[in-house]
Amino acid sequence: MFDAEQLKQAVGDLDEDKVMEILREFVATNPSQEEAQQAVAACQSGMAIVGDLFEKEEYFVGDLIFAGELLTNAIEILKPVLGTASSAKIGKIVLGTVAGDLHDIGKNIFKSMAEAAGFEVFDLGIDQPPANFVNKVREVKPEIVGMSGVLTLALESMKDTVDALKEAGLRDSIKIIIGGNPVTKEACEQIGADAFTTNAAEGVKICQGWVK
Amino acid sequence: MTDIAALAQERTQIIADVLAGRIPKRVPVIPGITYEFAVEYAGLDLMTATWNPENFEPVCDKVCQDFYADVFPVIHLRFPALYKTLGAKNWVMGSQGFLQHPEVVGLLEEEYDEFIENPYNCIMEKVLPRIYKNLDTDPQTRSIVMAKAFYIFNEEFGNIGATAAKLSQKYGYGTANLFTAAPSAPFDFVADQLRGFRNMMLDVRRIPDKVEAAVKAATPLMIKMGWPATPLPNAAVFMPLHMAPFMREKDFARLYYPTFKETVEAFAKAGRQTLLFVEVDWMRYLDYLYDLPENTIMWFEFGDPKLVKEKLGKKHILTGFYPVTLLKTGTVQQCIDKAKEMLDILAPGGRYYFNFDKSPLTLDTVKPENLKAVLEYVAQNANY
Amino acid sequence: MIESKYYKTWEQYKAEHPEISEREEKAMAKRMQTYEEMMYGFVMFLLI
Repeated sequence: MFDAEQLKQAVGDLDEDKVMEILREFVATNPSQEEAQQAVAACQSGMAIVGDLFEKEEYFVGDLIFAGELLTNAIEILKPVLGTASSAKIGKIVLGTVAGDLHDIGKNIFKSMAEAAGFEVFDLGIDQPPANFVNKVREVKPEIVGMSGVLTLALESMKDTVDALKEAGLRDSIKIIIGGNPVTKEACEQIGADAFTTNAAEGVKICQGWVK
Repeated sequence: MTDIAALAQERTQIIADVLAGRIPKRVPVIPGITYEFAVEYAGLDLMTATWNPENFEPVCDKVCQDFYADVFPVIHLRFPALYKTLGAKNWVMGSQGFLQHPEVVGLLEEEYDEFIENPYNCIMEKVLPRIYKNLDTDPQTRSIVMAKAFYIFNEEFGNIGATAAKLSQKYGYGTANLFTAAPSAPFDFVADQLRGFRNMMLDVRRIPDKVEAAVKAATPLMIKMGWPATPLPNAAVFMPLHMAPFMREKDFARLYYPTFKETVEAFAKAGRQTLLFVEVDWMRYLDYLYDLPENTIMWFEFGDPKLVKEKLGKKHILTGFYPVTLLKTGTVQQCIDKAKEMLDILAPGGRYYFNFDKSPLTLDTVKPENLKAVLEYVAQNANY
Repeated sequence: MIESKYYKTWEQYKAEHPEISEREEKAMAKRMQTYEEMMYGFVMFLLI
C-alpha cells in the first residue's frame, strides 16, 4: 500500500519525482483495483490543494499546466492496475472555445482540473460554432456548458451560443459558465451566462456548487 | 502655415512632451485600432478584404474621418497572403476571418542545445521549416517560397508606411512611431513560437537551466531586432509582454526579468524608448517594472491604475487600463464617465496618454458610437 | 552581434570576397548591408 496523505501532498507540492516514485513503488506491489482507485483519489485531492494554492496566488497558470501534466502522467502509471473499475462521475460538462477563437490553453487547464474534480468533460475543441454546442448538449445531456475564449470577439460568439441553446429549448436544463481573458460581470449578464471566471480553479468550484 | 500643418505640429509637440516626461498642453489620444476592425467598419468582408493591399487606404481613411486620434491609429501586422504563401501553422485564420496564433512548437526539447549554440542557424534550419510547412521542402522550392513571402512582406509594409504618411498629411496627425519594431522579451520569444506556452511552463520546472541558457542566447537577437539604426523623433520599439503573469515570482526573477531588462536597457542606451504592452495582470511585478530605464512607456491591460500611477507614474510613461469591453456593454454616458475616471487618476503630473486596455479587435467587439464619443471626450476635455 | 552563416556584416562579407575593390566597396557596402538587415528583420518577423 501507499501513504495517501504523502501522495496527496506530493501532488499538491507539484513534486513530480516524488509522485512518480510513490506510484511506481505502489504499482510494483500489484495492488487491487480498489487500492488503485484510492491512489487516483489521493492524486485528485492533491489537485484540490493545487487549486487552493492557485486561488491564494501562490501558484500561477504555469503551475496549473504542470499540475495537469503531472496528473495525466500519474494516471498513465496507474492504468495497468486500475482495471475496468471507474470512479463515479459527479456531473457532465460540455466544453469548448467559441466560434472565431482558436485559443485553448485556458480551456485545457479548466478541463484537466474539472476532470480531477470528478466531472466527465466533453471537449468540443476550438473555434466551435453554436450548432456544435447545441448538438453535443442534446446528445450527452450535461448539467453544465463551459464556453472559453481569449479574444474580445469571443464575447459575441458566447452570446450567439447562449441564444442558440435557448432557441433549441435547452437553456433551462443547463448551467452556463464562461471563462477567459475578456469576460466580466457585465459581459456575463449581456451574454446570458450563469457565471463567469478568469480563474480555472474558481470555475471548477462554481461547477461543483451546481451539481451538489 | 496651414491649419492642418499647425495641428500636426501641435500634436507632435504634445506627444514629444509626454514621451520626454514633460507635462503637455493636453493629454494625447493615441488609440490603436486594428485593421480588422477598420475593415468591418468600412463595410468590407474581413475574410477577403485583408488579401488586397489596395483596400488599406480607403479603409483607413474612413476610420480617420470618424474617430479622433493624435497619431495615425490603424495597426496592421498580419497578412493572410504572407501566411498562406508560407503555409503557416503559427498564424491561422479563425472562422470569422481573424488571424490568430495557435499553440505551436518550433523547437523540440532535444534541440535546446543547438539553439543555445547558435540560435539564428537553428531558427533557419529547424524552426522555420517546422512552423511554416511550405519551407519544409527542397532548397529550390524553399527559395521560391521565401522570395514570394519577402516580396509580400515588403509590399504590405511599404503600402502601410506610404498610406500612414499620406493620411497623416491629410488629417494633420502628429509625427510619432511607437512601433518601429516588435521584438519580444527574450523569454517570451523562446516561449511563443519556439517551445510553445505549455511546453515552456513544463520546461521551467523540469529543465530551468536549459531555459535560462536559451533565453540568454535569444537576447542578442531581440536587441538586434529593435536596434535603432536611424534616429527618429517620437519613436519607440513595441514589446508585447506575455508569459510573466503566468509564472511564479522566483522563476520570473531568474528566467524572465534579467534578459528582458537587458533588452530594454540596450534600446534606452541607444536612445530609443520601449513601449511595453503589459499584458494580463502585472501587479505583483510593479517593483521590477519600476527598475526599467526612465521613461519606458507602459501600456497596461489590467490592474489598479491608482496603485500603478503612484508607484510608476513619476518615472515612466503610462497608458491603457480603460476596459475596451465597456465600449460594448456600456451606454455613451457610462463610457465617458469611465474616461473621466481614468483621466482623474492617470493624467495629473503628465506622463500619460490615452489609450484603451487593448485594441478593439473586430467591429462587433465595441459599439462604434461609444468609441467615437470617448475619443472625442478625451480630446476635448483633457487640458492641463 | 550575431554569428551565423545566414547573416553577415559587411566586414565579414568583405573578408570572404577579397576581389572587391575599394572603389566598388564605396558603392556596395551600404546597399548590400541594407538587404542583409532587411532579410534579418523579415526572418525575425516570422517568429513574432
